[in-house]
Amino acid sequence: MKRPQALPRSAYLKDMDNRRVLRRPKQMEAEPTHNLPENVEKALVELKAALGDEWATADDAVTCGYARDQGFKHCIYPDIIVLPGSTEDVAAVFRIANKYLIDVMPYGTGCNTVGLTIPLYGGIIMDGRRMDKILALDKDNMYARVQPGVNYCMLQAEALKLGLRVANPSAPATVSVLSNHLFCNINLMASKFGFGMDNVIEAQVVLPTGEVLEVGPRASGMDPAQVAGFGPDMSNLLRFAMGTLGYVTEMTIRLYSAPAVDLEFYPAYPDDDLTDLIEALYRLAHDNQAREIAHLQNTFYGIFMGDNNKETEAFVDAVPRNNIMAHFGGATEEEAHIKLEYARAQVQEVSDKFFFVEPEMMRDMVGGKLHLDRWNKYFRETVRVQRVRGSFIIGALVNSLDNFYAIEKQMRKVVTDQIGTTHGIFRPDDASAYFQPYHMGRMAYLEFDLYTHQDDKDDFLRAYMGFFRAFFLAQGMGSIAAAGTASLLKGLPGLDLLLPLGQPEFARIMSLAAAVKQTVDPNDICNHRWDYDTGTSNKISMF
Amino acid sequence: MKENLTKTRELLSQYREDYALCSKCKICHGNHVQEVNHARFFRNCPSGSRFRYEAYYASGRMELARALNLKEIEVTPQYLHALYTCMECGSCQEQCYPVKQIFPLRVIELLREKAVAEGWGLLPEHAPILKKLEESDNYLGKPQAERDKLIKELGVEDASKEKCGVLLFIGCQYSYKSELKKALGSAVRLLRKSGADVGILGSKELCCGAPLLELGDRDFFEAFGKENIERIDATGAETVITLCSHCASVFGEEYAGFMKASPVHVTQYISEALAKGDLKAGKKAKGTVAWHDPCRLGRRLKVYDEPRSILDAIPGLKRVEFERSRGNTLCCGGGGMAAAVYPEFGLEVAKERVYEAEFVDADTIVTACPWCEEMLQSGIGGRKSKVKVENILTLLEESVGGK
Amino acid sequence: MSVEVVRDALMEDLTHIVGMGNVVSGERALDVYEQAEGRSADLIRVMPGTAEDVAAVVNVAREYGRKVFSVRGRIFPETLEGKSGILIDPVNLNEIKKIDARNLMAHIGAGVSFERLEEELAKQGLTLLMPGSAESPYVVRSYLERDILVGSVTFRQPNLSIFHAVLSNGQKWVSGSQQLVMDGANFREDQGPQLSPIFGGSEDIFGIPVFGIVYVYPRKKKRQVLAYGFKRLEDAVGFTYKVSRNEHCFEIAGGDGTWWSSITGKGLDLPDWTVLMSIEQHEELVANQASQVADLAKGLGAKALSKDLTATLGQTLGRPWYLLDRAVKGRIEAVKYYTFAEKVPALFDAAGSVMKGMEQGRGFIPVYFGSSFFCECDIHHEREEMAKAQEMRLKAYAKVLELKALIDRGNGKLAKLVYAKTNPVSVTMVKNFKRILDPDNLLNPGQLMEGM
Repeated sequence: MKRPQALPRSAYLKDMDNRRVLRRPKQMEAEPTHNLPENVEKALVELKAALGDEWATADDAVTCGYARDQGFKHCIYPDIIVLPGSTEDVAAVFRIANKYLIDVMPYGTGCNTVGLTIPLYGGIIMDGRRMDKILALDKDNMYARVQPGVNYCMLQAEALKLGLRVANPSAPATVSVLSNHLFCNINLMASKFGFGMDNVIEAQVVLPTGEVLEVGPRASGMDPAQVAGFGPDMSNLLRFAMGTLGYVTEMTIRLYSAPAVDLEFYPAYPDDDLTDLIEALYRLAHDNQAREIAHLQNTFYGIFMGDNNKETEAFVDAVPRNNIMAHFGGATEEEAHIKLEYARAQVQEVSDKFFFVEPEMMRDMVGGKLHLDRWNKYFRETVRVQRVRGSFIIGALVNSLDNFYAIEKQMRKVVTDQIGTTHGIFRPDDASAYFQPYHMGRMAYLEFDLYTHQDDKDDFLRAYMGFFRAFFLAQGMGSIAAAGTASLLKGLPGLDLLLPLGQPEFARIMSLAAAVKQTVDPNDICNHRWDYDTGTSNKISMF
Repeated sequence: MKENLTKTRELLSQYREDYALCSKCKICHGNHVQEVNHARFFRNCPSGSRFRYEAYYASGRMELARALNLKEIEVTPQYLHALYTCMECGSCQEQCYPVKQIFPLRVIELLREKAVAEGWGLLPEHAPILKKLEESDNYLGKPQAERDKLIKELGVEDASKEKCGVLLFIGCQYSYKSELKKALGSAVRLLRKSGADVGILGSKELCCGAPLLELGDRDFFEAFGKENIERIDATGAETVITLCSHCASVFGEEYAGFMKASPVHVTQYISEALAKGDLKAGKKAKGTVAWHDPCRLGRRLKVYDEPRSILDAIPGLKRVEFERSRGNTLCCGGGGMAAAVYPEFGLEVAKERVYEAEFVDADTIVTACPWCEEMLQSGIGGRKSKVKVENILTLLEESVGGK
Repeated sequence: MSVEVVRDALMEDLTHIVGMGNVVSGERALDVYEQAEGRSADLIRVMPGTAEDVAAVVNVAREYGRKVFSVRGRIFPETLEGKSGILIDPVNLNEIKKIDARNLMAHIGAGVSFERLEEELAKQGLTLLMPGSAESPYVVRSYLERDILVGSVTFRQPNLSIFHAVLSNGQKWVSGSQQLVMDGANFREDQGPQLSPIFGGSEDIFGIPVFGIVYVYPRKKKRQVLAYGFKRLEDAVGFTYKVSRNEHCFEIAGGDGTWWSSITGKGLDLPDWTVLMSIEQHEELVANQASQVADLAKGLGAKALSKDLTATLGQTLGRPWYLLDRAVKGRIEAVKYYTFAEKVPALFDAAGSVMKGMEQGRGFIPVYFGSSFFCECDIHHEREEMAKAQEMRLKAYAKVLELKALIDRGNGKLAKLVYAKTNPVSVTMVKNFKRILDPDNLLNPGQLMEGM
């Protein structure tokens, strides 16, 4: 068979080739001192020698894969990607980076949704996925020690074999366990068991100088016996440091028992009025018997249940407006039932508008199509979050449960005012939302997501504007972001002057974080954002 | 060429939304998380698991497409390495589509087609493959005339001369490789035993074009496709049975819309024959087997149950599942023409699959794809494993008995 | 200016800040401590009433070139020996600002005691978790120091949310969400890297706590106290482990006869090992869980203690267990550490091996659903045996450290022992924090360790 000749390219296509030229944004600073091209070249040679030829590259085919994520941070290409295989490799990367003043961006498995692993000025991205071992998994003493490349799916699978589980977040199961505990680990077990820093026992950190810092009991050669190590507790030092203080190469986290019997119930509330629902959440949280507990609006529920956008839409319309999900565990069937029935009575006492959704009811509501195993398993074990339309902007807020009632209402209003309504599955005025109590209801987390098509500029900008309007409104009503932003905001022009006036306490943590940063990173290479001399950033970027 | 096989050629640019909407959730890197029971078996992207950089996973290949489209980068040797180490196993799309309604596999396939169409693609190592197909009309570069001998050897009809009940499309590997002759013989005998009046095209059977499709040479593939379809139509056969999984997916996904005959894979045909009682597996077998879902048969055509029902019909045989099975199957290492250029890489993947067989305590891996058989055999050698590889039809024939 | 004149001026300034009667100098300055006989320090003890007063005291101290110390426990710390400066006693920082029953938090000054807070909480059907071996009667202090809490095993820790501390420059460090909003979530996490936890277990070298938000708990409808006796320590620990893991308890603690006698203050006829526990839930659940506990105990060959003994022991629950209250012979040295359940016996043996000839009490309290056990070996001694007991304590620590026990805080010689085994980069990090937060080494110099 004769191989067909390729058709000649049209003149138009040829012309397009001539018109278009390479236009990748590289460094955009004036008078840069970091990431100079000649130094990047020299650094690459040494990195290849240190890590192995295969594990350091500056090839565009590789760097392009790290230049973007689904968030609203614009693309910035790194110069080099490295894949260290050990703590020693990580230390070597930092030493070489210091030598040549190349910025280093820590990167776990790269599931961040807000551009946190996209380096502002290029440099090296240190990808942790080769370090993917579960170093220890202790059945009796309930802890696991992991490297950055271990994701929740992997750890959960191994933990479940031992009758344990990790407090997994409502994020893809491909997220790095270690990275997620640094930012944020919002999980459905947080009311009873805590989240984030509550579950970190100790860690090994490579500082930007290349030194290895150990925090928690391991620093003194002690067993990870579940509590802070000796003296001042530094075990969570890098949580919300946003990669500015070093690279965590190992972390020991708490695991929890998977009980012998696990029962769940799903009280549903038909109205939009959240007063009763919040009261019910308080009761359940105060009782502290529910192992997992959350509220889910039908919009948030739908995205977990449907197989595609159409099914999600059908599901949203079919299920009750507001739903609580709670799990109860017991050593025996009887014990679990006692807990569940007591909780049921508590909820019914709040309002007779609550009705309890049984699986058969759910099946009827969605016309016979129900992924029951997904309904149960998602919230109990690993979670794979479905997000429709492309990307989403997460509003992650913390406040008291009571306060969220008014906040959520107001946020809907401003989003509608700003974005308007659409015919889409997830209308801006009906952004998917869920709350969950933290720490026995002492505070709560609200997630308020807007969906957008990240490739459609108009849609994206509308959502972006609406989101920030809603977010700042919520902050004005006493909420805080569910993630500490001091390391990100440091260096925003003018902020250092204004903050001490308006927010002196926040200015203090920002100063301390900056002082710590300058101590452990004298050359300012680790997630380089602001300049030590001027105290400000040459670029304005939230993330 | 008189006309394209596909009425409207798909282009990468039509999938711009797909690569632009990738949200880097990384579920394309592994298996369905609800079905992972061991950390090791989360991993399912062969190239990503080996080479580790983003570019070697679907999530990174989306960026390869986007960055090229936006003229942010140019093609480099590493770009080509990332493109051609993909085994096109479809694991990424299997995980991604239900969540995001994105087709990462299709993007990768069309990126390869773009590479060929624009002249920057294909590696020097691909040249011999193209040469063999040009000169010999088959993937192995063997004389087509040898296929005519099979008519007599197998005792089947010459479908180009006589009308037959079913046309058996043998495929290049089964036609020529001596180590696969046994499976071919078993297939024909089982089909005849089931009552089928089997014919083959002999030397008129050309390569189905799967290697060309996988390399992205769409034009060349369509040339083969068109020719094959004309010859098949000319036989008047209503059913065409494929032996090889790659042929099956080509027939099922490409030829089917343009061909009069209905394509079916041999496991589908045989499984139906067993269900109807046209075949009966009477002799007891021994051992523990694990069915390896070939990517092209399983994920592409969703043929999962039929091979399993065949094995379950064999008395005495114990069947276990791989940890990564059905839609989660791990590629044997032979997909996407990657092993043709990177044989060590292919071998590593094959060895991993053999390890998995050992893990689930299978003493035999059973499959129905010559590429899988060959790769798994090399994996067994590479691991010095006691595990065996068998073709499902050979195994069945032993139980059915008779000649 | 003569020393006396300066001192008089200082006293005057301090009096002006904290008020008459709240400045004590000379020997009486050390009245706040126990086990202080033979100890000396040249300190002026002040008792400020507000955070602003504390800040003012710190500022005055800096002006006068004086160091500032803080009262961190009732036992005189060896590191204070011979020190000179101002000693801040939080006793008057005793405002209960708010009890938020809805959100289960109490906003209190650093000088609010367990007893006082419990009394106020009881009025609203609330309670708080009591320490198992506290050296300070103040809730914020105890929680900041990460004292073991007897009822904490089925709750997440810690129980201190936000706190305020006065820094060496007189400014106030505010932790958690109050860095951004004063009235909102009251969320423990800092709004940047988690730096606030370094204040815990720090001997106040970074800042002096003045206020805290502590977690409180709703009282449940039904409460039952149970006590079981075991011959073998392994069985007692195993029982405690299982009960904790199954969440079949509220408070739970185990110990030998000396331990329980020292806690109750009574000579009791107890089995070798006794585990005391409570279950507090609604009635049906209490009955169910108590039944399961009884089955478990039976399976392990345990004997339920008599009603009277159980009641006697049970009275100790719901109140703070102060270390000094256990000093049955007048003085006590305690070796405290955490370890895993399976290692409890071995570490008790290791610690005990260097305490021969002394009266010892041993106790254990589980944390985190039984995944770890707080252990304590008490050396009861007379005053004359003080040096010997202290030496034994240090040796015992060295022994358990060899077996990787987790010692979560200490000072002086103990800190030196631990830091000698600590990653030097980690030690440097602590020093870095000190240098950044207190460049003049004003606050509690040498109180964690000399040179720190």
